Amino acid sequence: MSDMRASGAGDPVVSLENLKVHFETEEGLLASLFSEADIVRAVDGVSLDIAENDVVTLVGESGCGKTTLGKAAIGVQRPTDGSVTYRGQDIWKAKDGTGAIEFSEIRRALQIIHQDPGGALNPNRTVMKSLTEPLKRWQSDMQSEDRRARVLRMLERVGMTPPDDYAQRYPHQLSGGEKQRVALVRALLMNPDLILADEAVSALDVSLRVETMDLLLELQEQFDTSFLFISHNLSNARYLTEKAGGRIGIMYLGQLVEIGPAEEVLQNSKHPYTKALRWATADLDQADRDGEGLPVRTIDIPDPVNPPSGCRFHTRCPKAREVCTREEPTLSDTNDSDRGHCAACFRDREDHEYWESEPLEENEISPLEEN
Amino acid sequence: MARTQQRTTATDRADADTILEIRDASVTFDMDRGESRVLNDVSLDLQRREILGVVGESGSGKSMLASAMLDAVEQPGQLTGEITYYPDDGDPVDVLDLSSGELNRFRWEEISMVFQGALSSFNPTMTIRGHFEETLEAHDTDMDAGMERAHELLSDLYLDADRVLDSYPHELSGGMSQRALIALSLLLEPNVLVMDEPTAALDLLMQRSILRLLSELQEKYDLTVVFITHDLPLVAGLADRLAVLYAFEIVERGPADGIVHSAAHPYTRSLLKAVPNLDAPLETMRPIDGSAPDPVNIPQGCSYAARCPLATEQCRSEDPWYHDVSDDHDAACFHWERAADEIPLEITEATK
Repeated sequence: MSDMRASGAGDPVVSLENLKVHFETEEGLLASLFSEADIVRAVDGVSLDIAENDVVTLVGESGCGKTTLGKAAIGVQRPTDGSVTYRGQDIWKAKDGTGAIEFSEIRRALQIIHQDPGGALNPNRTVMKSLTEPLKRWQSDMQSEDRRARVLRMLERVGMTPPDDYAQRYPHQLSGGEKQRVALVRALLMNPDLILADEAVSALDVSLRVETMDLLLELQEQFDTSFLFISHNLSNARYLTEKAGGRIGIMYLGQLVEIGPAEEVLQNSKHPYTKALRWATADLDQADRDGEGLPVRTIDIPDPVNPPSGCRFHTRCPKAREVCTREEPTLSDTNDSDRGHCAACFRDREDHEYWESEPLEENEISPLEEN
Repeated sequence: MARTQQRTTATDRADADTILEIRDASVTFDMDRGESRVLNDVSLDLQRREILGVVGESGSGKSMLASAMLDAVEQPGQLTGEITYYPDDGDPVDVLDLSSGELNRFRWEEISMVFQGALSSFNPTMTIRGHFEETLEAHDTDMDAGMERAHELLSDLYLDADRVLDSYPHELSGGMSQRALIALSLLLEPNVLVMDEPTAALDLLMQRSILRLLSELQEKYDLTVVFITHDLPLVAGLADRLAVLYAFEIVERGPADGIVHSAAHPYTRSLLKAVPNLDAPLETMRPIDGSAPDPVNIPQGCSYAARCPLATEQCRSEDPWYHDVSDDHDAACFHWERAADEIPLEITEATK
């Protein structure tokens, strides 16, 4: 798709500007516990540019909004506020028919691989049928034999050999790793500019993860595709991102709290939440044995319907001070010069009033009060 | 499979500190295409008040081992072997010989079990309090003392006891319901807690926090804990000892430090390299080629031979017996002495 690339030169592939996605909660689950509130701020003000050949991994706990943000980035989730643009074109204006780029073109350019690849494949169709179908739709002038040849080449390329054998199989005749590959082939056949891969390896057995991640990175390079990975696992995020020279973004309660080059974010973490995630990522050195305390004051995540005031992490943050309960740090507040590494934390600003502010009492917040 | 006669290791000799002794435990299923052996002659001694981590990938038989410890293998699975429980005082208990009534008491009051996915363990129409009360009633236990213990256990797990007790299961987050389930499992003061992937569905920060709480509970209540997981790094920091399962057999067992820093079985070493982590150089992380054997056709000889870079003709024809790596560390491998050179581990050796 070099023609597309040329027209969009300089622009990021996808750009999110102060993006917000809010959901109304269903009656019941949360409403019974929190009578008044009914809006979940799944994504609450995130700006992010994804360039060509870029690799970005969003990391955070469940409910932090990373999947919603990912879906908004590829135009399958409509934002409540803010904008998502594809090569400068607002995706939702294109959808409404008022853009310079056709919406169908945007849909082709932004692809997704689901966490559960099996669920995305029709159980009654062979691999060949599942893979030629989208080609028919997007490249209707292609001959049937050419389509089949293209699918076989791609299967071979992702290591499914002999491809003729795999092409005739049904999803239930494939292992989890093989289904994942078929899903990947299906996305790549579209010549996408960006692929969203949501927990693409976390369901795989440990011994398969590295292999699958290597394959993803190899294809990313070969096809000049950008990837937006979503993971709750910092080790997988590191592997994917550091190898590709990409960025890791850490999300907490709907916001991006730290972003930067993988090794920067992991080795020189700025945000106390990133440090807590690092602690949670067990390493083999058993540092845990020295009995240091938990790096969070409470272990449960606050309810996203009523996010804490000020810095949203202050209820769990071991470094929180009084100012954190009333003032909200933003990513742009911080020093942007460290190779694009920034964190939404007052501790990253030498002259902030944080340093004069009173530390919060250890016992000020009972374990579940904010929940 | 002729391994039993040849085994002569520390872990084989049940001593005074053994609380649960597993001998030649096998689980088989009859399938159309033959007998499926999903646990193969596993012998293991659980030491009183230790935390034992059992590590295995999916399909390695680790859940079967957990079920076997409580004679809870579901039909049509057939469990054979011997499971002996040694109470603090009193006679040893032959677990596979208990009546269903005895087994029910045994499973709550001596050995308790927590599975992955607390939500499916709770009745959705009953409050958490209802579950605690029902359990106390079913075991004729004093309600007041029992609920007092429930409060204490829930607080130990960083939960607001009253609020959690008044909640229905779906009103709790995954991490909260999993902790409530751990509290419930300890309600009748069992000595042993067997946990099968108890944190796998949770976020890493919650997983690690629960592990920290577990080690506090273990000390406070003098528990013996078996923690079964696919996640070696997760349990390495918690466990005193580790047992590594591959293809339905324990291939290596020893102190956690010994397994992590000087793993002797080629599979353990390859597994350590295959798990991405935050600190090791990226180029040292390698997948394990090939796949685990089919339980219906377990190959002759060492079941890892087909994937093992050290395998020789002997490995393909003869079952490897346990070789002593140190006093309390052994590996079922003929070539364990060469494993460190053939499969170097930059991470652990560098930081030793």
